Amino acid sequence: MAFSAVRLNKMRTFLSTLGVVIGVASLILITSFGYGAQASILSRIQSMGANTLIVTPGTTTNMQREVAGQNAIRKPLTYEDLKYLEDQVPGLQASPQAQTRTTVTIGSNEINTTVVGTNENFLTVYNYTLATGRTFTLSDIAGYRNYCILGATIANELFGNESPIGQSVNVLNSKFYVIGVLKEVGAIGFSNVDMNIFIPITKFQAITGQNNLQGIYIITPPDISMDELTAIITKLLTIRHGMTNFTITNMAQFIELATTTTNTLTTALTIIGLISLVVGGIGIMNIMLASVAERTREIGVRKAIGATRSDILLQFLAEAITVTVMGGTIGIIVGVVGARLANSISRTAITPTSIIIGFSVSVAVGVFFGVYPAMKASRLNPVEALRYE
Amino acid sequence: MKDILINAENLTKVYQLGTVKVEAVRGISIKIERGELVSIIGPSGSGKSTLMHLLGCLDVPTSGKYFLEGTDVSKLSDRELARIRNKKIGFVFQTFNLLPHLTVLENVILPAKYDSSVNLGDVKRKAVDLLERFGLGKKLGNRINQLSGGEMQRVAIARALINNPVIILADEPTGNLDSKTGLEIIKILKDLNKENSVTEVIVTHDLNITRFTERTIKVKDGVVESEEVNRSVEEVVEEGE
Repeated sequence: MAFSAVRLNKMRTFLSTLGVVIGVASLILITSFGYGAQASILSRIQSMGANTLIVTPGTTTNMQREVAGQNAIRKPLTYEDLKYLEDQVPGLQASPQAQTRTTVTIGSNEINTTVVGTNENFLTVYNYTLATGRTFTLSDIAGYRNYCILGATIANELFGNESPIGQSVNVLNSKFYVIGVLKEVGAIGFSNVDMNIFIPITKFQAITGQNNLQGIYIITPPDISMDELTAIITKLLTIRHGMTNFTITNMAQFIELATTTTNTLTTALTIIGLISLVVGGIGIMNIMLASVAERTREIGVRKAIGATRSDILLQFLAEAITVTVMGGTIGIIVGVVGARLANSISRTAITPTSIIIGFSVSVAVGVFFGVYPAMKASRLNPVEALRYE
Repeated sequence: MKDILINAENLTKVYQLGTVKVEAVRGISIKIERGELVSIIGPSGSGKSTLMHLLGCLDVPTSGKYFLEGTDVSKLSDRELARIRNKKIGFVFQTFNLLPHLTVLENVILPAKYDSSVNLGDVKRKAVDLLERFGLGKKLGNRINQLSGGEMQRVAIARALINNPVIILADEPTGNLDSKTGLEIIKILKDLNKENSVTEVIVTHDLNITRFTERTIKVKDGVVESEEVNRSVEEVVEEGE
């Protein structure tokens, strides 16, 4: 019976279904971006290992900044700090983070890239793997050698099928010899490790004149806990700098922060999607109210031949739900296909949750916005309904 | 022994129209026997439609008692009234009141859809039989708007009969038809009464129709003005026969 009424007015049914289709499709598409961002951030963070500590310059305490003045607090982290920590804590592996954007030329090719100054520990600390060649040795770093290690993509772009090992590239007006190539890592948010060129930190600082590190990444040695190490580093660096002008974060905190942030993002996106569904639902209620008014006579007839209130209520409710379920199903298909297509722009992820939510919310919209018109229909007095012109 | 099907005692119905009280029915008592063919006649505004609504359980009286097959239906709930309308009463309306988006067959079996105790297969067979009897055997799948007025009213009669009601209430069944088609409809109603012993009440303002019924109840200003038994019930002679 619900379907026969749906075919009663095809255009109107189509339009009210469209509202739900757009609502559900946008809900699924929008949340797929949220889930995609979450998945890519978490997978990157987790690939670095949970036992990593990150020391960054500056503190978040505004009070100290007020008291000590901007410059004092801004006293940067340096490569010497890193060496100092390695000397003081036996077995500690640390890698500096210092980078600059530039272009690299080979023949007539000019490619945008990021040059990263690093040290002999960076494979272990960042959890990278060599595809070919070798990594930096301590003497490469200490000797300011013009050696570089390439990310997978840039190696391919510069040398194609040729082996890059032993070839030279021109970066930052200097000539570097390629000693190794990394395996593919994949893009993470805005940074793409595969497009990076890694050079010794000493050489990096000598060329760029940047002595400040953006951070120091440290792997906790197995014989010490992360909390203990945090305490030791805090103490050592505080004494060395004369103040606590740095922040130590561990991966667990990072994951927590990233999860919270992306959850907030996903929730916000879901709410936006839900709002569009509610708008679609209001459209349905509008259509159903018009339909009830238009079919007053029919309701009277049905009551005269024996339909009870609940028969009429269920009939109109079924019609509303039919429309929303049809719309929801089409919307899910459109949303999933859309998310697949959008994956090339930004990583998207379809979770069963978003499909279940999309479907159940569309049913709920049908029930919620269908109940009032259906109640109205069921309460019509049969005598008056039959008289209605 | 008389088998009283309908026994209405002193029925009244008062409507509240804004601040004005309208007494549409002001104490009507009626008895109808099983198998009777009765007409209720009266001018518009006489209360005959309200009376039909009360007899058809579409409405409950303000006061008075109404026994249908011995059961007092004047105090029943909405749901129970719907059940009585479904099982015991068949309506035929002036404006046919068929559902335009359903087919002829779907319209006829519609009352059975509201009765969970019936077998839809049996109902469909019965509907086809009825429609064939009324000369609509070839139009089962047609939509209502493809039918003539006379055909629509025959579909409506088939619908009224589908659940084997104890009474058919016809409200101006010929009102929207030309006189020839109207007579065809009256003939069908008379045949049903004679051949199938269906009890029928025809509400009309057309004196002509009362010639074909056994008894006529005249209603005026909400009361029964007179009641007369027709000593020479006429048969319907269709034009051209």
